[in-house]
Amino acid sequence: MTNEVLMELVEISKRFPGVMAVDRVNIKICKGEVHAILGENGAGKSTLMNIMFGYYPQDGGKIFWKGNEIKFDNPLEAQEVGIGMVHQENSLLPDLDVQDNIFLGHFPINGLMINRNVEKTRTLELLNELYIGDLVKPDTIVHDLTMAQKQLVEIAKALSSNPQFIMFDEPTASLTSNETEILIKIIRNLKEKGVGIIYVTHRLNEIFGLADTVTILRDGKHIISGPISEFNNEKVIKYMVGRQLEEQVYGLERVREDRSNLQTVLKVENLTKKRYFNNVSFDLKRGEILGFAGLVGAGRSEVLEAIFGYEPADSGEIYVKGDKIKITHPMISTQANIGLIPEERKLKGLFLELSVKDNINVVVDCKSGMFINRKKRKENAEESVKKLEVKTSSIEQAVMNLSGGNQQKVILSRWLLASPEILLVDEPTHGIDVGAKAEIYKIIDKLTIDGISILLVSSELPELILLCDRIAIMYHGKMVGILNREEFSQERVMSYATGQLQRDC
Amino acid sequence: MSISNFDLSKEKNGRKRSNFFSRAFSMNEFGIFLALAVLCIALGTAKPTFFSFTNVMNVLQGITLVGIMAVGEAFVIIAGGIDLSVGSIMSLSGLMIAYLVHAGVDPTISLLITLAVGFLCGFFNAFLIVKWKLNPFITTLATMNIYQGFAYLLTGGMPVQINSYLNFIGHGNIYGVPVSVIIMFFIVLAGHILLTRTVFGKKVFAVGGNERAAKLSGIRVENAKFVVYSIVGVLCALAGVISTTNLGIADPTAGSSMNLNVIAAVVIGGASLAGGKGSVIGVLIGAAIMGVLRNGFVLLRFSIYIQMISLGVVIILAVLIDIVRNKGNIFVLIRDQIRRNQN
Repeated sequence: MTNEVLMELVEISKRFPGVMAVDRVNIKICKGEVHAILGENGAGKSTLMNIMFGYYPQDGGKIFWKGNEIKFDNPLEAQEVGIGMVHQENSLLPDLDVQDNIFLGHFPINGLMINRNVEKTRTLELLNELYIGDLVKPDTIVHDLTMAQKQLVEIAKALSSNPQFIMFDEPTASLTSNETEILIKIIRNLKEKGVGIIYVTHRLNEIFGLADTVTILRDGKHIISGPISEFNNEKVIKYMVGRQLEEQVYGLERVREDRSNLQTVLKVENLTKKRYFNNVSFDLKRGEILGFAGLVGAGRSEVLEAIFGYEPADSGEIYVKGDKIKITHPMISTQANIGLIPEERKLKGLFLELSVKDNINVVVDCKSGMFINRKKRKENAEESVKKLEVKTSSIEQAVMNLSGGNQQKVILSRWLLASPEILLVDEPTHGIDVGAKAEIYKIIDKLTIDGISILLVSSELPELILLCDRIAIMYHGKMVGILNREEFSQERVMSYATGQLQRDC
Repeated sequence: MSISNFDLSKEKNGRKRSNFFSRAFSMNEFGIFLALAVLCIALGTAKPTFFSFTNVMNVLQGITLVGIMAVGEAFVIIAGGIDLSVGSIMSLSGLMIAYLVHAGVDPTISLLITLAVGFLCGFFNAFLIVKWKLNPFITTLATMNIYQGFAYLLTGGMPVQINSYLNFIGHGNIYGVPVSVIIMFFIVLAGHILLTRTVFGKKVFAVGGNERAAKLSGIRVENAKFVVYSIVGVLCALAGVISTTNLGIADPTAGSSMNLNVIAAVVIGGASLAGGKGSVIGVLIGAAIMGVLRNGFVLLRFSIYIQMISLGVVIILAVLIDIVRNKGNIFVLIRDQIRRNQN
């Protein structure tokens, strides 16, 4: 890290109708500096980055690039001076291959034609730099990639124009620990080369040891900036949420007990789906939370979707409370009082343009007779919104206007109304801020006290360790171990998840 | 958490105070209803005969075919599909009933067979779309030709006369109100109730809103699609019967201009071609706007070509009105887009 300033923001403000998204923020990023920007959802991090990237014009304040005041009209101008950005939401085109996605907008050309050879070799170099060269080929079509691979291709895309300054917007949200390590290695390499880096994440433990400087935003306001050495976990969280988080996270109330004598509500035997998972067996007790750990692509989500009947398994048995059930469609599992909260909220969970009320009632609608009861639907929605503290202006509000955490609560409410006995929960806190996460933990905790059993897939080990009674670990489509609570440790789970340990289960 | 409760209670009080007008304004159909009203008042001022009973009935009778088919089309479009073959099914059914009655089949049985043919046409569309996973646009573009071709084949392209008690359907009236208009209002009412008050209606919105989420909510997406395409098939057959019995003659080209007019009525009525949005009341208003335009231009003795141009303009305006009416929401959308980006 040198003292040569790359990017400097002075009193930058941005107003959106009804909200001050960014309020007089000052930030300075030097060459070779990793600058972490932290804050809850809605704190203004993405807006700030989008201003630097030329996506939004600022309403007030000045931007200096290498000491000269600049104003970008669009992201292309920002890219031309050497600014790159890795977007949080996938901005890749699913039907194009990897190389075209990476070089879209700046294809290497040979006269009028795209120089395919250069494009391909450059793509290979980039993929190798990201250590995914043997998994992802330049001509792989993007929709065949896993979420994590897509994220890494997104990073390759940002690196392809050799930026001097690069912004990462929650790059690890869909990555597992292994891939996160790769990313951190990449960032260190970039730092060595003198690239200035902005790093936004919700996973606080990543920034210690990586970032040089920390800036914390809250409600669009600049709360504090300083060298990382002046911060620790608690301090960061305190500044971010403006209140102590611990009380919330550890406000969990359920009693840890030996559940092996309790009723088995779900028993899965030798569940197999070709190319995804093999001979997966486990059982789930009443009121238990069974976690599923593993790397992205280990087959955990696929197991949940197979149990639920969304993509049914090829073979194997599923017993619900002792009765063998053949689940070929989600309708059957919903009638067996199973619910699924899917990983990709917007893609698989929400009816974005429909109201909160319609989104909450969709499952109970299907279970009721021919006509809907409008009064009941309204009551359902109002009670759910109140119970889970969903922040929405009205139950008639389109669900797309809610924040991620509140959308997740809407999906939770949907299933809770159907009084499930088993909930399959896939990455419930993906892309959700610290405060909302804690609320989701509390809800999950509360559900099991009420006797609901939960299968929880999560890529965040602390989350699994906090919530689960047992953790099942999958590796390459196989179940390699089930740990009891007293055996929990991040290191042990990771050794199983990376295939170093294995036991019969 | 106290904040959210506070917001909720405020919202509740706010809603209690809302009166009829603000409720009406917040309805999705308000924009196009206003457009229809302005159009009617303008025409009524220019030509007072516009509001005469005979003329109003003329306008209504003029929109029955498009109106009835558009109710079915609305279900298909809200469920995220599209049916381009409606006019062809209408032509085929219209010929079928005349052909059967002409051949000496009992008129009531002919009617049932014709409705069944419409059902089968719709079912076949759904079969290709659901089971073979063909794109709905392409599928119904193809069956539009197939069904129209069958209509020509049936009679070698010749019109067929029909004369039986069935002619009452298209030609009769009760206290001066054409029977076909009564049928249309009945279909609109039934469609509205089916769409807004039944579980099936909610499923249609869910399927069009997000097919994967619908499946994950326990909805049989395929079944819902079969039902909507079959509904539109039966309604097209009904339109065919009305058209034939109204004229007393079955014309194989009767429906060929209807395919796109039906979709236009649904779109003017506020439905989104992306699915998940739309209403039956809107469809009726959409069809009415088209009918009033046609009628008004005749009354004012404007050229038919100007009428076509104005219909095109109306379609664009309808979409614009929808955007303007949602303007408040657009800002909300932008803000929440940002909030989503910040996630």
